[in-house]
Amino acid sequence: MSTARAHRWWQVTRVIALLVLGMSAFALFAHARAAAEAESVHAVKAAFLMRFGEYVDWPAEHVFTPEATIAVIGAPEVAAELRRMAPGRSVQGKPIAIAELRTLQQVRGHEYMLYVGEAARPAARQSLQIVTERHQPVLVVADWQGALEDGAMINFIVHDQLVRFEVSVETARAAGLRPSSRLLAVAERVVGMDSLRDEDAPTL
Amino acid sequence: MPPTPLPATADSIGRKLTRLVLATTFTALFVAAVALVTYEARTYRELWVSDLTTQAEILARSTAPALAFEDPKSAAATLAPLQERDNIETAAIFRPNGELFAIYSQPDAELPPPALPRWRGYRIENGKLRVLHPVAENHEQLGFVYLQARYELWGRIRDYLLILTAVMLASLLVALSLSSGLKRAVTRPIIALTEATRRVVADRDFSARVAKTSDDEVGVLVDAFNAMLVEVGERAAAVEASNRSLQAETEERRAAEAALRDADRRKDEFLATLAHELRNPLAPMVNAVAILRRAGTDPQVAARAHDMMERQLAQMVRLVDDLLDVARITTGKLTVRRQHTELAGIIQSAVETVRPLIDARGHQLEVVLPPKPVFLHADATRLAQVFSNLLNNAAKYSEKPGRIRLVADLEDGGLAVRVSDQGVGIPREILPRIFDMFAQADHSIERRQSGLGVGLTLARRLVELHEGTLEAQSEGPGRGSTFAVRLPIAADQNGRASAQGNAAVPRPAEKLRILLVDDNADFATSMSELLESLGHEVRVAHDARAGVAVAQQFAPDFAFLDIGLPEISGYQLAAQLRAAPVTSKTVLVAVSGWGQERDRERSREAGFAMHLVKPVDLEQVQSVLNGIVRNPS
Repeated sequence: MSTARAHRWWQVTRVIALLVLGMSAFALFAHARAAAEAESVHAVKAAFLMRFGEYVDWPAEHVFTPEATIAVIGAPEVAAELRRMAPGRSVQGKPIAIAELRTLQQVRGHEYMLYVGEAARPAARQSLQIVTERHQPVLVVADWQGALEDGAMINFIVHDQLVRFEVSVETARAAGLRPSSRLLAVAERVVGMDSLRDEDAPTL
Repeated sequence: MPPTPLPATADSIGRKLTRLVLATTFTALFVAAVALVTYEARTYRELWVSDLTTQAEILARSTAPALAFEDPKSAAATLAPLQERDNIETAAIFRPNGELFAIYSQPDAELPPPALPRWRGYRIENGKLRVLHPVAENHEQLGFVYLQARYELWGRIRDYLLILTAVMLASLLVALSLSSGLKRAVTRPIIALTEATRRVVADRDFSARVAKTSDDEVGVLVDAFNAMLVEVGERAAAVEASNRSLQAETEERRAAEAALRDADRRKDEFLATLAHELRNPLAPMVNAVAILRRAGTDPQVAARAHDMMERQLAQMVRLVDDLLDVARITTGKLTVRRQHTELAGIIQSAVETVRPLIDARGHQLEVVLPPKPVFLHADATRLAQVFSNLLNNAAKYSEKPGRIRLVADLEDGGLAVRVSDQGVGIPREILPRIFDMFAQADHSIERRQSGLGVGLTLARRLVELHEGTLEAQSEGPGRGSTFAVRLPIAADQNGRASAQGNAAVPRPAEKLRILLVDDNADFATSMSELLESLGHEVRVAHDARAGVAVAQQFAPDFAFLDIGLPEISGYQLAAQLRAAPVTSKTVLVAVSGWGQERDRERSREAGFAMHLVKPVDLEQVQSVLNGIVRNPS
């Protein structure tokens, strides 16, 4: 079997498919494009947030009490989507609760996840370290360019309406969290793998 | 029973063995193949479904993050390694709403369905195995994995069948080579046995044996076969032997039957001859009687008639005597009274008996005796009978007047008497049978001279009774014949016997006085005339009184007395004669119709020297006169 030929054929097919899809989408949704896209992106982000927990290991001794709370700051649309999705869903065996906060100072440290929208982006760099430096196992997700350098563990990236994300393993581990390799496999960018490798090398 | 050759074996055991081995091998392999294929058909499906489902589960697990975080590229990358698995043609990931999320497909392969199928689990149709497996994480339905593979059960079974066929062919080849070895071990003894059987049947050779080469059932069979051959051979030999003896018996019986038939035929011939011979003399005798009855017959003619009647009567008497002797031979009652006697007298007696015939035929007789007297322990009358018989034959079977020789010699301590003639001779082929009862030379040659055919038989028997032999020789027909009689001579050859012998055989020339007493005038007259013709002096009396009176004057040497005389019986007459001095030395001879031993005893008591039974003939009387027949006591 000629793997190379099959691959090329597949690529050609994919390109044609994408072109057809793209042209059709452009023609059909030209007018309602902005609104629909925005709504879709918020929903996708909410869905991603719901799922991240499944791909991250919390320290064994950590217990969510009484429920797994997702704290949202500066992203009311995403929070709304989360509230819509939350009923019936759970993470690590705990039902999911949504809490909207105004500022980072309101974070108590017992939250399961913290999502910080671009609207609540702190002025100073590294400000998200407020949360992480307490060494509380809270998964911090942010949504602006360079958020990982600001102390976020996962950061959304949006290219052409496609929601992707990047992960900082170093930051997560510093908080006692371990993102699974399956999560990293679909991440757009992974930061801090070197330290991880150094640290875990003897055990591999 | 003709030996039928055994048919050639159309189907040998070796071939059967090969077939058996091949059939066994084939059956075993075939059953194994069917079991394998059935098992394969069942497990292939289970294994392949399970395999594909597992594959789908793994894909579901690994593509879950891609579905969860909307990453089709990652999903496609996850599907890409499937190209290492040839029989998975197509793989696809669907979103929960049925939208195609990612796809992998081999070139020219059937594309996945454009929309999510409604079924779940697996489907087998059109040579394809399809699996649809859900992708879920944390109870959230993320999508579906779709796998499509070639379901090549039939191809696989075909491959199996090909392999099994190859294995089967190889196995059959191995079985063939094994069976040839087996054949050698099993069939060689059987073939040897078969060959031996064929040989035995074809050649009837029961001495053949089969070599035993194994200790198995065939070995036992070989032993049994050999034992059977021995048994059959013995039985065949026994049957053959009994056949042979049966054949010999049959031949013997056939020969005996032929001999009986021959004897019967000869007896018939004898009877015919006998009738002929008895009838023959009667015609001339009747004629002679007629001549004599006529008055005034010329005395010369009458004399010839008398001579003729005499000859014919003598012939008849001889015939009847021979017959009586033959009867004695057949009943075994022929006996001889052997005494010390001299040869010359015997020969003389024989010659005299035959002389009339020899003279009538014009033959010359030459008699040569040894210079010294030869004494025999023999019955003189019987030996004289033998020689007269031989001389009679010689005269009878010589057509023309010829010379007949009788030569007696002492040879090898015994006596040999040869009677030879120049007559018709004896054919070589008849010679061995010449002494058989009733045997005769060719009837056609000398029909009118034929006797009864008992003379030679009688002669030989008489010679044998004297412990002698009688042999015939002839150079062939027309060249004469010689009969040789060999007899033992008496141990005592001295003169005493000689003197006695001379006394006992008085010369016929000597004139004797003879008294005949018989009330039968015919007998007395005819007998007296006969005796007178021989030169004796004869007186006749018809009763005892006359007899005594005649005797007183006559003083006879011999007196023949009839026992049944009127008034005074023969016994009383004998007593009177014995008492009278004149007749005390007279030899008294009783003549009676009764011949029982009791009668003879009574004759002896009455003083008779001899007892003759009526009818008395001249020969008997002559024997008495010659002193050959002596008083029995």
